Amino acid sequence: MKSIPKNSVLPVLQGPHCLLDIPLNPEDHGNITVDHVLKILGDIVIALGMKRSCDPRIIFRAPGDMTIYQIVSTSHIIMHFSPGLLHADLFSCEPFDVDASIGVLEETFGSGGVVQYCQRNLIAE
Amino acid sequence: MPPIAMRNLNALTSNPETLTHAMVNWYRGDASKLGDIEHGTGIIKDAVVHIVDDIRDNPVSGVLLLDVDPIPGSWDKGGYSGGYVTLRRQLTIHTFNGINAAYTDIMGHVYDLEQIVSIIGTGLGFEYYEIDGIFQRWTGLPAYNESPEERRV
Repeated sequence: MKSIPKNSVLPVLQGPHCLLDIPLNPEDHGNITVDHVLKILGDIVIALGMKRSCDPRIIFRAPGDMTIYQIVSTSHIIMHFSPGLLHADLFSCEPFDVDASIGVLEETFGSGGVVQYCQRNLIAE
Repeated sequence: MPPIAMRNLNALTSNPETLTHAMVNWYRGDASKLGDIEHGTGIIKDAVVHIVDDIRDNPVSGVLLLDVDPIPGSWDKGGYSGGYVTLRRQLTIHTFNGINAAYTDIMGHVYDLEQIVSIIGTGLGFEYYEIDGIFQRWTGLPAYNESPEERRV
């Protein structure tokens, strides 16, 4: 397997891939229920203007310790809730309002998070 | 700047108490495989054991891939989207049959990126890959072990 050779080609697919890590207060874990995360997911889908491709999947261990997974028409939204941390993955092959989607999460869990951003580029040869 | 050797990336993704999120792009895949969900599911099942140590000896269930419709009149010929997602770990893929390319992203506490790249690359017939981004965050959480109490809702 080889790394791709760099040459003068144009990107054909570009989209934001945003990772957001927000520290969670352990005292709030009990409030992070399935219904709660479904509501947050719905708000993000609206903020991003995305179209769901299927029902969301939830992998549940306990309140505050679960993962929610939504495939959308242009990629995915995934949120991993674990003790003390939310790791959110917002990805689309098309531009979306990154600030609005981060805003939904910060309004709910506070603004002490760290955003890591990658502009994905898939090129045509 | 020379590319980072895979063994060095693998050292990053094998670091406990961190979450490492690797984004990998793929090119020149086998068109006959990039729209074949059954085949893709098998490849994901093979690869995912390298992010989920505790299911290595058990059958992998819960891989979800969905057909993506082509955009009429464009280069896009569709493909599939989805992957395997569980507590604190994920392996997702989005294929584009019109350009024989794909996005993947791989996240977890401890995983073998080299093996995952090899399985996906070989299984879907890709000639090239590139690391689009690799992000790591110290969490202080122990490397996660799946619990039998986990359930899918």
